[in-house]
Amino acid sequence: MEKRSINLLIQKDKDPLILRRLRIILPVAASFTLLIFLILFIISINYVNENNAQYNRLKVQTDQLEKKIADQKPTEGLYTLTVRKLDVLDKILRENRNLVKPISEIIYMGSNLLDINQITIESDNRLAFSVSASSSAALDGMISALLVKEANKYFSDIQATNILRDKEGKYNFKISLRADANLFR
Amino acid sequence: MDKRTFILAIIKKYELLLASGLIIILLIILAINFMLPNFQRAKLIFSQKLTLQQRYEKLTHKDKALLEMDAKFLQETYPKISWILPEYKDFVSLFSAFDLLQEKTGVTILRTNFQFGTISTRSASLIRSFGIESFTVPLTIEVAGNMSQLQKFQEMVANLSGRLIILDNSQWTFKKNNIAVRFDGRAFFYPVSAEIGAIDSPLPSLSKEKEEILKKIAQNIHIESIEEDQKRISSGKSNLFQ
Repeated sequence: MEKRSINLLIQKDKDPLILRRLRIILPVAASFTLLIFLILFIISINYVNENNAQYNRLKVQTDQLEKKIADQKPTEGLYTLTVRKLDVLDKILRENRNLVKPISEIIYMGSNLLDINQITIESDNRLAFSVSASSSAALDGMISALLVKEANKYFSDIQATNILRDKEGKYNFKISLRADANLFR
Repeated sequence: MDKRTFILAIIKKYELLLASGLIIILLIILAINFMLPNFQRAKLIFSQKLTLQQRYEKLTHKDKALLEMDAKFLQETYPKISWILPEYKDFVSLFSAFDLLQEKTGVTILRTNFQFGTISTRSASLIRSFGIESFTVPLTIEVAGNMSQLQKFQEMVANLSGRLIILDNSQWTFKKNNIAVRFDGRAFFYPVSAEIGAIDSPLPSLSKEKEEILKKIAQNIHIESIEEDQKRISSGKSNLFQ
């Protein structure tokens, strides 16, 4: 009797390439994702705990410092008031002007032949004064002295008005000028 | 083959793929629900910590500055500053200032004229806007003396040794033996509120100029002389509202 063989096993279909690749990639991806998840989760918990602890420590230190500063409130108040007043004083002192210096410049400029009666200083650094000169030479001397002061930048915008010669031969006139701001320091 | 067997066969065939996919999906869900809020919380705590850190640094700086401060010096100097720049118009200290000027410079004060204007309570004074002009007492002083006495007078009114006066305009009349001068000027007062800022607000800075002013005041004025002056000038109330 002749022997005959029959293949009872069904021929296995070959899986598509993508499926074969997924069988390799997906388990690796899942393991990798799990690993990453675990690492990140542990890091996040540690990070939160660490920051929380630091925050709490800092909060305690801040509270202690606030209490310490609150205890020094009287000193702080006194210092604040002092600085506020000093600020105002500083502003006021910047407005201070020496009114004597420009006057000296005028009265020591003239000779004995000149008679200065009155000098007015206004807040815009303008000076006005009336002079009586006993002779035309004294008048010339006064004008020359004023011109020198103008050249030295002490005075500017010098104007002479109301020049009159009285019965006694004296020259009376009024002078108005602007003094340099440095003269008032 | 029934349906159940078929599904089981499919699961069996793709079990590795299904398990891997399920793990990935599960991890994504876990990440969204547990890990992401953790990071958000961490971010919040971090930003709060940063804010607190800044506050702590400010406080440390302030505490250091306060510790370095000479509280005793401030306690001694503040009344001196208030003598120069009182908190109300204080005409008593103005009279005292003129007495002192006359005594120390040798000039003769012929006439004084103050414009006190409205005298108000402390709270009413504080309402006014800040500005030197709001807190001035316009005054006119007529003095007589020689040039050097007048020079001293000019120096002393603003040398921080008494009530601060600024001279604005002047009219000088030259007589035979002396000079008569009419000064138009201003004395000042400054009502200060006792309020201080928040606990972490920085302390106001003390510039070099202000430090110089403070030193000068501390040197020029002696508490004893203030007390002496206050005793010497008998008056009623220095402020109507006090």
